[in-house]
Parts: sequence; C-alpha cells; structure tokens
Amino acid sequence: MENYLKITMAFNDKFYDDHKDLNLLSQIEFCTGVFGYNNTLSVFETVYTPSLNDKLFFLKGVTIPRVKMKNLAVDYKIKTVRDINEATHIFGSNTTFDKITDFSYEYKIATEEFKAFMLLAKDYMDVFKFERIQTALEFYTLPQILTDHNTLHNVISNKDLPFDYTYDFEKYGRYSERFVLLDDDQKENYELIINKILYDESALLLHLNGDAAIEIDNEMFESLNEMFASSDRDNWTLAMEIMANCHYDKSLLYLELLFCDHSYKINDTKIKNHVNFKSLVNFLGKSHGYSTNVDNIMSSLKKHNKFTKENLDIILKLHGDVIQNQGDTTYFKVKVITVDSEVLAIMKEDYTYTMIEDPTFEVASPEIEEVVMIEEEIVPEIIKIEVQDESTNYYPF
Amino acid sequence: MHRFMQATMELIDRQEYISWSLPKNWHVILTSNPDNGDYNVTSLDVAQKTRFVSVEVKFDVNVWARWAEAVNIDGRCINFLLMNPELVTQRVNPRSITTFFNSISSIQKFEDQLPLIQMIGEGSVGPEFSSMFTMFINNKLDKIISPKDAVTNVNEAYVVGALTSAVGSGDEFRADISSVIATRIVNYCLTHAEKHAIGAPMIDRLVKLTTDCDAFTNDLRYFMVKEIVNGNKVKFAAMMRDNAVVKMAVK
Repeated sequence: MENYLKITMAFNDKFYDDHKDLNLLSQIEFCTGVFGYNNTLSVFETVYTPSLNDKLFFLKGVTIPRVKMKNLAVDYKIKTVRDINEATHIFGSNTTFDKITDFSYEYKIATEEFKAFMLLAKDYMDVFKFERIQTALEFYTLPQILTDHNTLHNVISNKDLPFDYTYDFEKYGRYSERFVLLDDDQKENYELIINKILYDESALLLHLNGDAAIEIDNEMFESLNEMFASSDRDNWTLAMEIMANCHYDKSLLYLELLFCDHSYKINDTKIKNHVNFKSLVNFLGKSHGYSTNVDNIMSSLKKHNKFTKENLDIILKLHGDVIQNQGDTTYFKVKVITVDSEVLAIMKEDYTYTMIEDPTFEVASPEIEEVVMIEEEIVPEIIKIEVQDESTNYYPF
Repeated sequence: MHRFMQATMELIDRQEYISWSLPKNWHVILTSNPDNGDYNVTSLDVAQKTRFVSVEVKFDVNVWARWAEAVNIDGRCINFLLMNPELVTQRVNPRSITTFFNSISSIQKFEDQLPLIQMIGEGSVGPEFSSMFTMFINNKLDKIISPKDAVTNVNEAYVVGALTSAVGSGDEFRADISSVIATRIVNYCLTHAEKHAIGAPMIDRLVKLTTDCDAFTNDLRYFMVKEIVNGNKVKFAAMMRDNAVVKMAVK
C-alpha cells in the first residue's frame, strides 16, 4: 500500500456567479491504500501447531469464540494478547482485509501536472494554503495524487480559469478508479503485519474444540438430518450447536453434507450469527447463504486433504443423482453412458458408450527401483575413489 | 363510554387521534371479556368488529408455569397445576388460582393445615379444585424436590436420589411427575439465567440430569436440553460442548 496525497479544490462562490475574483479553496489529506481489487493480506499459513506459552493476536475479521480458547489455555498455557507487539503468532481470516479497509472511487492527477497547475494558480489562492500544498508536494514521491470529481472536472479542467492552463484528459485519463483505503486506526498494525507470517484462523479453529470433541459419523449425520427435517426450529438450533462443537477435521465430510442439504434452514436461524457457529462457517470457508453443492464439498475435501475413496463413495451415494440429472460438474465427469432398459430389451444386447477413456497414470516400474538400489549401494565406493583422487591431485575423469 | 370507544376506534382504524399519532410499527392490542352473558361488558357492533382481528386466548399451563416461576409463586402449587391443567376453566381461571396459591404460600407444611387450605380453596377456586389439591397433599406430591435444589444443591447423590424416589422406577415410574419436574427445572434455569451468571457447577449438574439420571426418560432429557439451550443460547451453550449431551441429543 502507498501513502497517497489527496488534494481537493473548489472555487469561491463569487467565481461561480460571475467568473471573476477567483479564490481557490483547497483541502489536503493523506490516504494509505492501493488502486484495484488486490487483497494484500491473502497469504496465510494454514498450519499452526500450538506450543507452550504462545501468545496469539487476532486481527479484525477473526471469529474465534474466546470461551473455546480454554482448551488451549489449559493444555499449552496459550493466551490471547491485545498488543500486537507481544504476539508470537498473528491470526487473520479471509475477511480481515475487508474489515481493515474501506473502498471508494478516486480520481488521479499526475503529480508533475498538478505541480504545473499550482504554479499558475498561486496568485489565486490563500498563501497559507498554497504553501501547505507546496510543502506536501515537496517530499511527495508518488507519480500521482488523488483528487475528487469536482477538482478534476470542474476546477483544473475549467475553461474559465483566469490563467492559461489545459488539462490533457487523453493523456492522464478522466475516470475514477477503485481505491482501497486502509482504516486510520489500522495503519500501525498493517505496517507490522505486512512483513510477518500470518496464520489463517482455520489453522487455530482446528485445535479449538480439542481432540476430545465429538466426531460426526454416519449415524450422527442421520440424526442431525432428522433434527433438521423437524418443523420445530429449536431442533435446528440444537443441530447447529452440535455441528459448531464437533471435531471439525474429523467431521469435515458430514459437515459439508449437512450444509449441502440444509443451507436454507441454517441460513434461516438466528444462531448462524453466534460466534461459535461463525467459527465453523469460517473454517469451512462458506460464503453468505451457505449454499453448498457437490463441487463445493469436493473443493473442501481437497483443501483439507480428505480425498479418499470412502469419502467419494459417500458423496456419490447421497448426491450421485445430481450428476445423473445435470451431467458433468467440475469434479465429477460422466464416463460411460448406457441406454434405457426398454431399448436394451429391443437391442437384445448390453450397450455402453464411453465418453472418457481411462486415464493413464505413471507408475514407477520395479526395474527402475532396482537401479536406484544399485546406485545407493555403490555410493560409498565412489566417495572412496574421489577421496583417493583428491589426495593425489588427480581429476577422476 | 361512547366517546372513549370513538377515540379507541380512531386509534385502531387510523393509527391517530386528533393531532396525536402512533409511532411507526406500533400495534394496538385490546383485551376484553367475552360478550356471552357471563361478563358485564358493552357489546361491539359489527361495524366495529370488522375493523380489527379478534383472537380468543386460551390458557397454556406451560406459559403460566414460566410466568409463575418468574414471579415466585409457591413451587408446590406450580407442580399441582402442571399436573392438573384441566382444572382451569372459565370460572376457575388463572387469576383466582393464583390468588388461592398466594393465600396459602405462607403455610410451611400443607399437611398440617388441610382444613384451612380446604376452606380458602372452596372460597376462591371451588370445591372440585380444593379437593384435588387436598388429594395432591395427601399423596405427598408437594414434597417433590424443588428445581432450585435439583440444580444447585452441592450434594449430587442427594439430588439424584430425591429425583429418582419422586418418580419411582419400573412399573411404578410416574411419567407425569417426571415431566413436571423437567418443566420446572427448565423454567427455573431460564428464569435464574435472566439475572444471574451460570457457572460451571450448574452446567455440570444439568449435564448430569440430562445424561445420567434415571428420573428422566430420553424424551424428557432431550426436551430439557432443547428448551434450556434455545431459551438462553449464550448462557447455556456450554451444555452443548459436552459429548454426553451431544450423544444424548442425537440418540
């Protein structure tokens, strides 16, 4: 992020009326930010291993239920700190950047061009304000300054100015651009964290419920489904509490399946806003509405390294009809197509059409492995030879 | 009376009266006795009745029990009404019953003052209600452990013993008493939580009662957890962090 100078200007009221007696009014401020959509806090470590006496600092956007920190406090004497300088580990989330920034649409003027304008406008400004701007520009190194629509389109490019100046819109542009502005109260923290290792809150969430937390298995998944199927919304709340308190890592697949089946109901309860449930939502990376499909489930399994044949079997057993009805998804492809049994009966033979050929995987052959073993065996001999050669100053080749 | 009705109708119909108007999103709720000849009421004509929605309110013993717990009605009396909600009628209504209960709440041992209780009862809630209440005392059902004791008494063995003996076991298991105690515990917890912090001992006791106490069937255990956690999610959420409670809930 850069520290931009923002200068806005306006005409005095009288000049608006009769284009005489110009007196340029001005305001000046510094804005720390960046143009565009880039999230400069998007790289987080996803693995955190708790160790004794760790001190954790939570950036804005982290939704960790403090009450759940008890397990870590007891086991590792880990505590949270409010001073970032005391922290041994800093945690953020995918919403941290949005929480510490705001955005607006800002106009840009080339710094050199603005300096040229200021020299001409000097006689039409308050001396104090002019010198203030000049001082700011003196140490300003960025090629552009920020301004607003009125300054660019009504003041600097005004054709009724009492001095000869033309702003070249073709060269410098006339439109505003999205500018991400860092909150004033976050500037100090941002300077500190930008060069430090940041951890994703999901890395901590994994440890919060503790290893003793309950694992949602198939049986419990069925029970939770029944709770969500109930017309009594209190049962939904209990089900969501159970989801929020389970062992996230071990229960990952069934948690995703529950979101897949009941996202509408989950989104329709107040408990979704409770910090306890929010931490689960953040762990799974669910977006607003919690909508989840088979591809989302697969992405989650991939992210948490849970691709197993058993998990795929469970997904397809429960949601295979989605692929049957809709065809290919990002992760699931239709490989073979057959025809209706009625057609098969007429044809009197089995029929399948292969859409995708079997993939070929490179598998290390046993022969290559044998060669490797031989090489390992002869390594000591080579070293021996080299040592001998060095001693005689004789190059081995 | 006519002018009062006129002003009220203005408020109901137009949400304003002369220069004074109701704030946005305010709703006017009127209560009245039925116009069936039993009450001294002024009749509304059809033109007035069609300007609002009429709802006949029915007595709900659970709602009354929650209110009674909050305003410190004698727990023995709450137990009685929870077990006999059918005694509430148009003539023996919650107001007269509450008056009766408040009149006798200073009596420490009901069994020692049965004639007095019978007399007060007949004069306030009628002979049928009084007789049932006397029978309730004779059966020692007024001795059921209080919800406060069940949840806060440090002697866990005593609490479990008292609960188990109150509801019996096997063929003599009294599901009605078990249900009343469960309702009372739920109401006490939620009322208590409104003004007090809920500590770990109370959570532990609730976990014990809802997972490892034979006085309650699985259905009642689930009912207690559901009502307590949903009643105050912030203060009782810790219950759902106990694996035994979770296993019970999904059983």
